[in-house]
Order: sequence, then structure tokens, then C-alpha cells
Amino acid sequence: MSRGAAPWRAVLRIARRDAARSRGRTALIAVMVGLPVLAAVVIVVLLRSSTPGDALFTRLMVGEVTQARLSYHCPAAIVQDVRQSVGCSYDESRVQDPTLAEIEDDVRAVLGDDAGLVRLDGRRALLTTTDRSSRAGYGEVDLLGPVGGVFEPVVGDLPARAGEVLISSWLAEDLGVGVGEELGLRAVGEPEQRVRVTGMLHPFVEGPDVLALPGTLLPTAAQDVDLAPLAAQWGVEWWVTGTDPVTWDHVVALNDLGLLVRSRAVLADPPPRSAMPLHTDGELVQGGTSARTALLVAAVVGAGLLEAVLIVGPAFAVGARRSSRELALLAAHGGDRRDLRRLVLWNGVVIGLGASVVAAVLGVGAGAALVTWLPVGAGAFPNLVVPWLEILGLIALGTGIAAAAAWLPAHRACRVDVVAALSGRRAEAAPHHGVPVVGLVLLGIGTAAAVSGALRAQSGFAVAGVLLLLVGMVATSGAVVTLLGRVARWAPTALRFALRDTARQRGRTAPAVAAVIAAVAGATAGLVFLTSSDHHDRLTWAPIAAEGTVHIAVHPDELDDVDRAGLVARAGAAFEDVAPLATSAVVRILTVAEPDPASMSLSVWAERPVEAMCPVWLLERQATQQELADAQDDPRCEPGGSVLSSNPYSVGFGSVLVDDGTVVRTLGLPEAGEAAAALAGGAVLVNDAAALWADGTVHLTFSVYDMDGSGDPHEEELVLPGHVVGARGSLYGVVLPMGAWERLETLDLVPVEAGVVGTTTEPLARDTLEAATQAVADAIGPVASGVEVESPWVTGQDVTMLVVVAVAVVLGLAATWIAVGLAAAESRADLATLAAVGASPRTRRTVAGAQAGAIAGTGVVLGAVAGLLLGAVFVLVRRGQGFSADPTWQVVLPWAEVASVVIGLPALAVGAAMLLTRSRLPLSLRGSA
Amino acid sequence: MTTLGPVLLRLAQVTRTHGHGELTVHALRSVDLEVRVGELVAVMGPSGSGKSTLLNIAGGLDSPTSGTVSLADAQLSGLDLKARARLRRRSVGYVFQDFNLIPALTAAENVSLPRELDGVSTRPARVEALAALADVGIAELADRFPDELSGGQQQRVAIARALVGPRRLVLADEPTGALDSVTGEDVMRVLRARVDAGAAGLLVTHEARFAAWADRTVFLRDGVVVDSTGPRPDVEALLTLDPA
Repeated sequence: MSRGAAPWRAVLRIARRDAARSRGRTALIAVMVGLPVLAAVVIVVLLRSSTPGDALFTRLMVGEVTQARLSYHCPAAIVQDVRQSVGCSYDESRVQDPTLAEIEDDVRAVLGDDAGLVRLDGRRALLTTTDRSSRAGYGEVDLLGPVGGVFEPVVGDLPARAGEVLISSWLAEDLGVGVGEELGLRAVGEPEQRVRVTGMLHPFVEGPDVLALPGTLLPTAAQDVDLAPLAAQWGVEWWVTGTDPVTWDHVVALNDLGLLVRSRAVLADPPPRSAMPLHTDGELVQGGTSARTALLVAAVVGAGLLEAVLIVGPAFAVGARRSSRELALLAAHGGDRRDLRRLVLWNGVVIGLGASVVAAVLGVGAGAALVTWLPVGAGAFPNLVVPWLEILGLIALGTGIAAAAAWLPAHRACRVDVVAALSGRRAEAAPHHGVPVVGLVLLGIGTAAAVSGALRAQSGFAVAGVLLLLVGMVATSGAVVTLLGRVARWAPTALRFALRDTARQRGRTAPAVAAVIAAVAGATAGLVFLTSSDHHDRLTWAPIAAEGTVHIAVHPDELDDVDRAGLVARAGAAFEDVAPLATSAVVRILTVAEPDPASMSLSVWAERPVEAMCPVWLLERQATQQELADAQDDPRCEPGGSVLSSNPYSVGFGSVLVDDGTVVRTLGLPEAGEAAAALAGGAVLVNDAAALWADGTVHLTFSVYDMDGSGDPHEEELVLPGHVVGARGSLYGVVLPMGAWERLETLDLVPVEAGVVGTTTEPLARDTLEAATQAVADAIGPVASGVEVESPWVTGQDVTMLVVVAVAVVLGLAATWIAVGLAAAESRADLATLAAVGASPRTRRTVAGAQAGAIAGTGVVLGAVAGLLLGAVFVLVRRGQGFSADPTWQVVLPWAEVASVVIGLPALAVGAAMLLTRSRLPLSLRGSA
Repeated sequence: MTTLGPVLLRLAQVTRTHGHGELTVHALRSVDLEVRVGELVAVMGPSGSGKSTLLNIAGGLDSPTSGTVSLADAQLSGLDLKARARLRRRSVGYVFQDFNLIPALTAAENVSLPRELDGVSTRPARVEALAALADVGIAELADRFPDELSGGQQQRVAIARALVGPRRLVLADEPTGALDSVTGEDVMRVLRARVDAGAAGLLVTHEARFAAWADRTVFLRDGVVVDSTGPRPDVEALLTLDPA
């Protein structure tokens, strides 16, 4: 028969009052639950505030009156939600950009002939003051019309005439100019002009960094839609004016033209997710890799939640034991098992909810303070957005963690021996004998599933296995504690007493051991992953030169109206004025010959012989699942693994070094001598051994194509003697011998100087390097330059690993201390007996130390084993995330750090327990406890 | 002297043993006992004689190894844990030596607890609790927490809780053990009055002067009823008797 809500209310009242009365315990749980919630709330507030909210976004996109903003992305269809696009699809029939006129005709075909279009024309531009220069986007649009509302300045006014500009705040900071000051401005292909800054743009407005009225700088002829090819534009956009709204159907139609659309009507009333291809297209949303990444994240989050539950659990277990008399009383007055269970569970819910709500309020406050007080500039937030739904979710999560942590103690509490509790006798509910067996089974299944899932790149298995493994380890911990109690017969009195007490009082011991297991397992898994990640980075690090080698690179672009011939010499000389070089060589990169190298791009690659190619690459159709599976085990299909490599002389994709051997020799890698000799002998260097044909030659393909994608690429092949180098850096992909390009019949290529490589007689001091870098920048004016010194691999994980160890130790100590504190209270009668039979005053301390040692020791050993397995599984899952297994992801065990946790945590727990326990033995009579 | 009503609690041939084999302990052996409405029965005996076990079995907190326990018309041995809990909510109340009030609840909330656990809404449960507190003479202390009450006041609250609503059997385990003699007599006076008003009581005590408040006294030794007295004398008259 149902008793209605009255028992719930009665139990909730007791739980609420208990939480208020046991302030210390409540505070401890509240902190454990509340801190993560607080951190998460701050993060979501900052994340949501870092992008403009709907109202601000609408104003920054379409101002006050325009209907929509159209941004051209590519000649093929794009997929977008209401704000952003995920990029262009590939359509081989549509590779050439349309002209502006064609785009505008197509747009009017969609929106109607009456739709007004206001266009923003753009270029890249060089902006200069007397002592600084910067490259930025420059745009012209009718700011005095409807579009003016989009670019409403936050400081100053809109430009009113030619020669006046708005600039972004970062550009103002970069150039050190303010409103009313003048700049030199030169757009690509245009002469330099002096312009005056009239105002600053909103930091989050989208568009060029410099804005002016139409005709200010760009010739009117260049804006004629029939004359201006799109390729000449940079960041071209349109605003739709008029009164007719741009609907979602319009948006989808415009997407097909390669336009990203931000519509006032759609932003105000978004379509359902089911109407958005972005959210419904399975291939786009759930690519294989992203699904696997999601599962890996799910595993980490799941394990984290489980750990949170286990870590908070002891506090509830202790609370339930302390309340055993109250629970018994409730039973004596007619409360059944459900009521007792509810009391402990509600205790968790009350504390969890209270802590989560307070944490959420504090988190919103802290987030709001950060959003408000962070300085305007690069780190500024556009607005304060409080995502209530997500925060409610976090509150529910915090409450759920506390309730889940109270679940096991609640189930144990409802089995309280009422008579024993009421008579003040200590009674421990008999442990279920089946639990360790179930634990062992879970441990076995979990380990098998996790390892098998990880090895076969089946993240679902790995995730399930990881969680089962952790639960299994916790379930077996009680049996381990019991075993310790059994072997205690050989231990000295205090240790024997502590071990037996720990084993008998599983109700208080098991949750504490579980918490230590959770803390140590989490930390160990984190350490394994961090160490393996560091090892992965080290393996994929591919230096391009010997340590200490100096790279001086110059990067002139189409905005630099300078004589390129002398640039490198001036840069090198300026460097040597500050830091002389022992050896040096000029670096030359092959590029398309004049007159317009900037609009053309060159790629050079070495073709493998057919028998060395991955079969899947040769298919002229979609590969089947079986073919893809076979390819995963085929060494010819290895993508070569990821490579962390720098190429300071790169001027774009596929920059090719040309060298007579002096540059490679100066770069100074171990095989530099042989490589230099090969180059001098006319051989080409490659670092893909499979690209060397049987006759010792390398088959190179040279491809030149227009940057705007118009026209077919011009390709030509060249066969040269080859030499394979072991250096994996992209710089060594193809290195051409001098003069090789002259044998090409249809392509007109020339080498250009791109920098200087050199060695110093002794390592450069930091201030010398800074001075030399500044000297180079000063010597070549506004031309971009970079100075680098080849450095050894440096790990970046030291601090993180230290934090992980510290957190594990603190959490483990907290859990141990809770259990030892309760044990000390419960053992008063036994200790009094010990005192009565002549135990020394030191005994109490020794007992406390031994109890702490037993709990922490058991927890760290089991936790470390679980953590090593967990970490290995995470690494193996990461290894299998790509198309084929990445051998550079290897399980590396951080023995020193793990040992520091395994030895340090119990030692600290024992030390702290002995130090903080009063040595005087209680004199109370037995039964008074 | 009130007229005794029908039998409310009946123990027939109740035996309770703990442990097995050589470790077997006989807490109760073939105990027969009846408590009628309007009757207060005291149980006396040395430590370990089985007094508390008797009380626990009478309230359904413990089960007899053999024999039967009937409460009102219900056979306890035939009830599961839930049904026994329901019986305790509706028919039986305990009073303990250490008062055993829930410190997080006020006096009225402590008293209304069995009613609320039984599904009675908060407001009517509070009305019943206030009436029970008035019956034991401390209605004005209803909203105080246990740590704001004296020992005697706490034990009155416990008696009120034991007899709130339809509950008619109070099982008192040394209810005066933690009180001074004057307060103890006061508590016994309240208990006696509640029994006279129509309840039934089973009182475990060490002290004869408190057992004297009972209608009759049962003596236990080693789990066996070894003696029982006849009807009680007038205790109030004994208290005012001139020793000279």
C-alpha cells in the first residue's frame, strides 16, 4: 500500500537538518562536489561569453536594417547552421570561381530581382606608421548607407569622406595609433595613400581590419563587376537590403552558390535542427574519426564521473555509520528499509544540490567578473552570456554525483542491525561474499574488453572495458583488505590491531580504499597518457638541422615594393653585425618565374613506382570496407605518421629547396656530408625511400596552377638520379640539385633567395639572439622576417605531471583521513582497553598510522595497477584513431612518478595520521564510546 | 485502579537463542506473557537475563527462534520486514533509556515521525503530535529541539512519540535509567497516566521503586520467567507514606 509523499517529506526533513547539523562533513562533501561544478560553470560562462550572443551577433552581422550578409566561400556548395559553415564540399565540375557579376546574378535569381545588394570590396593591404608596419585586410563599402550599422564604431565616428578609415582595435594596438592619427596605406596593386583614422571597430565585428568609403583607394574601375575577377578580391561580401526577409530556404539555395548566409530572419527564428543538413547529414556530423574521438572523450568523462562518485563516497559512508543509531531509531518507530535508504540518499541529494547551486551561483559570479574585468583587446569578451540550461545540467550533474556517491552507503545503511545500534553495540553488516567474485569477473572482462577494444581501435569496447575495470577493481578491494587482516597475525600489536580493525570494519574501510583507488587510478592513467603523449611528440619531432643552427628567413610578399635581390644579403649582414656566423649559406627556393609569381603556385612531388603505391590510392572508385581494412595492414599505405617539423623557409605548400650541397652541409644533420655530395653530383634528395625507383632514379612531377583555381594545372615530369635521406622534416621531402629545373621544357621556374642558414662558434645568448633578430627586422624594413635557432626537443609536461601527482595525493589523503578519523572515534573503547592492560601512550599514534597505512597502501597498489591499465588503454585507443595505427603512439610507463605516488601517498598518510593523533590513550570505560 | 481491557500483546512459549553449537546462548526460554489494554507490566531481572531481548521481540525488532508473538490480532512471525515496520508505525512505540530522540527534529517533529512515515500528511500528523505532547504535559515545548530540553522533558517527548495516533502499546527499556529519582518518578507518573488512559505498557527496569508503578512485575533469570507478582499497590500512597 502506498504511503504517499508524507514519508518522503519526513525523511527529507531529517536529511536536510542532518546536513545543517554535521557542518564539517557537509562542508567537505560540498567542497568535493561544488568545486568541479564551480570550475565547469566558470568555463561554460567564459566559453559562451567568448562568442557574441544572438542580439549582438545579429547587430554585428546585419546591423539594424539589412536583411542578410552573404560571404563568398568557394565555387561549390557549402553547409552551414544559422551562424557558421563547416566548409565547402568538393565538386569537380565547379572548381573555377565565378565573377562578381555572375554571383550577383545568381543571388538575385534566388532572392528576386528587387533584392538590393551592397558589396564590400576587399584587398590585402600594408599599413605603416613612421616606425611600425602591419599587414591587414582592407575593405571599401558604403558605410553611410544601411551597412553603416554593422560597422558602428565603438570609439570615434564613421568615415565621412575619402581618406578616412575605421580600423580594428588590434590593428590600432599593433601600430600604436589612435583616432585622429594618420597612417600610410597601400593595397595590393594600388599606390600608397595617407589616411586618417576616424574610429575603432567593435572588437568582434567580422570583416576587414581597415574600412573606408567606396572609391577611397580602390579605383572605381576595379569595382566594376564585369571587369573585376573574384581572384582580385579579398574577403568579398554582400548585404541584402530591402524589406523582404531572407528565409532558411533562401539560405539553403544560396549555400549551393558557395555563399555563407547570416540572415536576420533566420537568426531571430532558427529552423529546427532536422531542417539543417549540417545536423542531419551523417557523413558530415559523424565522420569515423570524430565518432572515435567522441568515444574517447566519453571514456575519459565516464571514468572521471565514476572517480568523482568514488571519491565522495567515503564521506557519505562515514555519515551513515555515524547516523546508525538515528537510522535504527527510525526503524524502531516504523521506518522500513526504503525509509532508511531514502534518508542517506536524500542526504546526498540535499548536500549535492545545495553545493551545486551555491557553486553555480559563485561560478556565474566569477565568470561574470572575468568577462567584465578582463581588459578590452585580444582577451576581451564580446558579451556576458549565462547559459542557464547548461548550468542547470551541471547542477543536476553535481547532485547526481552526490546521490550516486550516497547510493552504496544508503544500501548498506538500510541493513543496519537495529537492536545492536540502539544498544550501543558495534555491529558490522556482513559483507556479501559474492562481491569480490563479481569484482574479479568484472576486472577480467573489463581488462579484456578494454585491451581488445584498444588494440582493434574499437573505442566502444575500450570505453565499456575501462569502466568495468575500475568498478571491478573497487569491488575486489574489500577482499584484499580482508586478506590483509588474515596475514596480520605476524604483525606487531598495533599494526595487527589496525589491520584486523580495518578488515572487520569494511563499512568504513571499503569506501575509503575505493576513493584512494579512484584518485590514484585517475592520476596514474593521466601520468601514463601524458608520458606517452610526450614520447609521441618526441618520436614525431623531426629536426631539420643540427642543434644550434641559425635560420634567418625573409618572407617578402606582393605588398613589399622592394628589391628582392639584396634582401637576403642585407638580412644576413645585419645578423652577423650582432652575432657573427662561423659558416653560412644562402637558402634558395624554387618558384614560378616573373611576371606574377604571387598568383601562381608550384608543387613538386616524387611519384612512387606503381608497385610501391597503396592499392587504395590507385582505385578510380570508392574503396570497399574490405579494401580499406586490407590497406590498414599494408605498409605501402602507411601515411608516414605525423611529423612535427619546422620549415622556416616555406613560402607556401610544397616549397622546394634547391641546393648545390652547401645548404644541406651547413644544416649539419648526421648524413649531411653524403647528401651534399649527392646534390653536388646532380642527384635529387628525397626522404621517402619508396619514391626511389629500381634504377635509382626519382620521378618528379612539377605542377603549376593559378591560385584562384582557374584553368587546369600545368604539369611536367622530370627523372633524376635520387638519394634517400633519413631526415623526416618536410624540408627534405624534395631537395633539387642546381640547374635541374632548367631541363623543364614547358614550365618557367626560377630559384629565389629565401634566407640564410648558418652556424655560430658558440651558443647564442638569449639577449644576443633578440638583438640580432631586431637588427634583421630593422635592416629589411616592412618585409616579414624570422630568426630561429634549432633547439633540442623540450618536454612540456613537467608541470602538468606535477599537478596530477599533487591532486592524487591530496584526494587520497583526504579519503584516508576521513576513514582514519572515524576509525579513531570508533576505536576509543578498544584503545581504552589497550590502555587498561598497559599499552604505552605511543600505541594510539601507531594504531592510527597503521590504519592509515593499511587503507592508503591497499588503495595505491590497486589504484596504480588499475591506472596503468587505464592509461595504456587510452594510449592504445589514441594510437588507433587514424586511418591506420600510428606507431608513434606507444605506451610509456612513468615509473618514477608512479613510484612517487605509490610510496609517497601511504608514507604521507601514515606520517600525517601519527602526527595529528593525540598520543594519550582514552581512559573512558568500555561501552561509553 | 483501571479496569483491564482485552489482551493486546501475547507471547506464547517464546524462545530466543543466539549462535550455534557450543556457542549457543539462550536469551529467552519458553516465555509466556500477556499484556492487556490499561495494563503496565514491569520486567525485572539481572543483567543478561533476557529483558531487552523480550522487549525487542515484543516490538518485532527481533524474531523468536520458536514460539509465537501476537500483537492485537496479528501474528508477528507471519509478517515480513515491511509489515512489521508498518505494525511498529501503527501499534507499538519504544521508549529508551537514552531518550533516543532524533536531534535534527523538533519535539513535535519527533512525535509526528511515525505518523508521517505511515503516510499521514505533515499538517494532520503535527496536530496528532501536539495532542500527544499535550497528553504528557509539554505542549508548549513542541518546537524545541532535543538539545534544548531537559532529560525528563526528552523522555516525555519519547513517551508521546510512543503513543501518538493509534499506537496503544509502549515498550519502555529503562526509561528512567538516565534520570535523577525525582524526574524518574515524574516520567513514571506520565507513563502510568497514559496507560490508565487506555494504552498498554511493558516496562524493563532494574529498580523496584519504578517497577512499583506497574500493575504486575515479571521476573526473568537466564531467559526464564521465574516469578510474577499480583496487582500493584497504590504507589502514590507509598511515595507519600511517612517513613516513621
